[in-house]
Amino acid sequence: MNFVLTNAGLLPLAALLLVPLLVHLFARARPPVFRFSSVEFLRQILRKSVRLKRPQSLLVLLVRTLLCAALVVLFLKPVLFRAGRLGGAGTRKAVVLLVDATASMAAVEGTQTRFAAACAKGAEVLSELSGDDQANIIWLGSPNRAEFPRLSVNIPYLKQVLRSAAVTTEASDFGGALARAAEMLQGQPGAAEIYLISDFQSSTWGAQPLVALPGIAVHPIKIGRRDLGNLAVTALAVDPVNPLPGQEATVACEVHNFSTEHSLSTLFLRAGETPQTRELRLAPGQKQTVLFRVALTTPGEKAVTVALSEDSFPYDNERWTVLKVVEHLRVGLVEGEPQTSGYWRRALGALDWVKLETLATTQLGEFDGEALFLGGWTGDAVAVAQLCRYLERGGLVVWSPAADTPAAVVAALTARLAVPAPADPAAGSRAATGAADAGEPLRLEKLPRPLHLTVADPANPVFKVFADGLYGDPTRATFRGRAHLAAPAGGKAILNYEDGVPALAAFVDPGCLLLWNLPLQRELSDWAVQPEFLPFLGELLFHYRRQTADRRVQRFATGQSLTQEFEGEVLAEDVKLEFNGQPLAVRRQVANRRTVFSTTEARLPGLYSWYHRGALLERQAVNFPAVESDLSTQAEIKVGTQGLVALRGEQSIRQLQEGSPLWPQLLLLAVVGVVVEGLLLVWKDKP
Amino acid sequence: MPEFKYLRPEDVQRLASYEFAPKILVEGYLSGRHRSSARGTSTEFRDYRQYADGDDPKLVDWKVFARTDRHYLRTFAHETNLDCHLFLDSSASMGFGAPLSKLDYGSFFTAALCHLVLRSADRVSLQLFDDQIRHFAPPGSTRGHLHNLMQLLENNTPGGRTRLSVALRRAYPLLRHRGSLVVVSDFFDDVGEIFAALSPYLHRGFAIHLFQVLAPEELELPDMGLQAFECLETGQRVVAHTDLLRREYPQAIQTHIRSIREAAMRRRISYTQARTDTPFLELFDRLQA
Repeated sequence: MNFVLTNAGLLPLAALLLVPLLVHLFARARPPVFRFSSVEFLRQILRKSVRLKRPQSLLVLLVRTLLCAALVVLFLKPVLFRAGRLGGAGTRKAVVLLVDATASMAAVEGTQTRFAAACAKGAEVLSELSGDDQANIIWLGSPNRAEFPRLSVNIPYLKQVLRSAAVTTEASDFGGALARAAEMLQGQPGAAEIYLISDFQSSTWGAQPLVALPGIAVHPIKIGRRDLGNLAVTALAVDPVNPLPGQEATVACEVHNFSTEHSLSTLFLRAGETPQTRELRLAPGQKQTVLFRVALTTPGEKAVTVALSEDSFPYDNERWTVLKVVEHLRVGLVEGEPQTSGYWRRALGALDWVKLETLATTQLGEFDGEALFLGGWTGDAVAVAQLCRYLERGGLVVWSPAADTPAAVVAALTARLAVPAPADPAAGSRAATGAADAGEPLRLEKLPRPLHLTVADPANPVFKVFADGLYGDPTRATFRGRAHLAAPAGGKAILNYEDGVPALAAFVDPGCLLLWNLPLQRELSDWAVQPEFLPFLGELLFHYRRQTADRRVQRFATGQSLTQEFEGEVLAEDVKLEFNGQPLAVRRQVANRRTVFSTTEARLPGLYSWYHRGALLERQAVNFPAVESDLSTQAEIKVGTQGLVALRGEQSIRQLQEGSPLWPQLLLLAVVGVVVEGLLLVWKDKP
Repeated sequence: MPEFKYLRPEDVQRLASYEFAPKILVEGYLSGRHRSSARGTSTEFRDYRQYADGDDPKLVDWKVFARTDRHYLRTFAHETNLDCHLFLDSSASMGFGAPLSKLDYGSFFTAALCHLVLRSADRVSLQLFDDQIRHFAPPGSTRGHLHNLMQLLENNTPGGRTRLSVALRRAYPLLRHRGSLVVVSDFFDDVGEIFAALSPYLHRGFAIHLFQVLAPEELELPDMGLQAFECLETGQRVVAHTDLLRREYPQAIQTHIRSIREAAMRRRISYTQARTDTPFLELFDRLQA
């Protein structure tokens, strides 16, 4: 800490400190002389009381001296500077303002938003700078935006920017902003200072310390005096994201009450033609997930919007997602063993929501449908690699291995590994863990007695439709032979043979591989002619089909750039992006025979629609960052090694610049001194 | 009659109705109106006592011898004149008081006493003392003696420190006849020392009268605020606030007075306190009572 005497010219006043001492001494010598007959009795009396009176006199002298000292120092106008700083007088400065422009700063306190208050504080800081000082402003957002690429002396412009700035609905990347500010200040002459003006949200700053930068003074300035309550929709998810027409989809909506009081609100869902509402009552701090069920009958991209009743912070009351209702599922069929492929083709062709495509093995790499059936397919290293990529994209592969399929191929595909080369027995054995023999092909085995199936996983939704017996019993078929296939590791059996051998097992994540050991040949089973075969196959396809497609629509947050890619070269006038019916500017880039259109930033949450030659191409949902919904603020933050630093909303910028004037404390000290002196005198005169 | 400072005509006129008659008998070398404790030759019968060798046979009561066959002497009260020895404290502390200082007050009283004693054809001596005997006027009974005494009083001024005990010890050899010993002082001296010095006088049968003269300000300090009290005798200064002293001082002075009074009572010495704001003639009223 440093002290500066603003009125140092009045320092000779310090001589006044001698006044009480002199008064004390002269007051004892100056009384009028009274010639008395004998002072012996007076001396006796004084000897008795001097033991008590002398300390009292000294105490009064001390208090009077302190009183005079307080008054003298009061006129010298001392100013206290914290952390070794010494004001700005005569020191060139380099200042970077980090102004929080995130969504929480849009909260209104009193008559203005937190952001407006932050801009006013920033203007105060700039007002204190002199003509030689340099400054810059970095707006905290996503991404952070600097007004100048480097520090500038054009402070009037920065003040003008502060007057016209607007808050965003974005979250912040404070670490990046601080690093950028430090980079700007590096090598600058004079005192380097960073003013961080923010509301210091609890959700952002609760666990994040403010890194102390060597040689740079960081001043956190808190905006916002109290924790504001808020009710927000913080998450929205749909399952499945690409339902079939008429298929019921579940809309899960998370609502969070960030206030300290109970909240009563209504949640609205708009998806399709029929809106739904739900009354909500949330306890303080409670988070509740509300489920809606919607069934859309027409194919196409459907906007799903959930909204809360209006509250004081309306930006996070709505949330959007896109539900892509598909008219049919694209299913590819690679024909290997004729009977198996034939039964599958007929069964899949009977499902009107399936668009079946027959594929050659060489087309595996190009297929992008929801499911791929491999009937009596042997497989090879190239095809296995393509299938692994397809699975990684979330696809469904139903594979009935041929009798001569190498066990290593089965092991590689179930483990999503490449097929090992024969010369690498160690890798082969690792990949083929669980196989009968890594290098040997599978073989068809005749069962000594016909076997039926058992349900290995009764909770599997595939069997839900068979629960009431209306669609028969999927385990009723009789099997007289099967592939000699040990259960590979990592799979989950769906159906088993009566002797416990897995008949149908699922290997999920990424994608889903259904290892089908249910021979459909007429001499080996009657499974394909059972009435349960078709519904079972349909349920299997329905529940295990690709679910991850188009989930990217939910990853967009405000401040991110929206993109749309096209194969080949697409003209700029053919592609448009609209938000609330208004066209938005897009950038066009062509590279590697692909055309990429992108926005600069999507500032506002909502649904953005891409059009190609006038036709709706895709809707993309941009949502409010959930982290900004908690409007409670931190009372203190951790700053480097300095420990916790209290954040005071009332802290004046001038105080930071010019230090803390001590005159109020000195005045108070003087008043206390007067009172104490009075009390001492009363005590002193008390018999 | 010439005018004296301390013996004003109006005072003499008022003293005409007073007669100096101490309650106790004193011894005088002349037979007078005052009865002596010694057996003498007056006509007033006092007592019988057995004859002893050396007694005057004229004093034997033969009638008693006739009845008892024993020799008894008739003794008569001895009537004598009064020797009055006056001690006037003239130390610096007696100069305190306004408009009438304690010394003035004591001088008025002493002058009046001299006048009364001489008017009764008794003898009076005067000693002015402070820490020593400054003036000694041997006993006398003439008008000229009174004139001298008055001159002595008028020329007297407050002197050094009060040393009553020293003055009494030094004066003791000077007083050849018993009588009344009147001490007029403020008695700002060690009480034990004073009464130790008075003891020889008591043993010789002196009738001792102590008159303590005090100013009202000495009995009750006035409210004067912060003052530097300068001692008239020593010149020492004590700075104190009278608010502080006024609570303690009366107790201190009364303790001193009480110690003198109690010591006097124990020795059957007459003690009278005189305030300078009361007429000195009232002291004679007290003596007559």
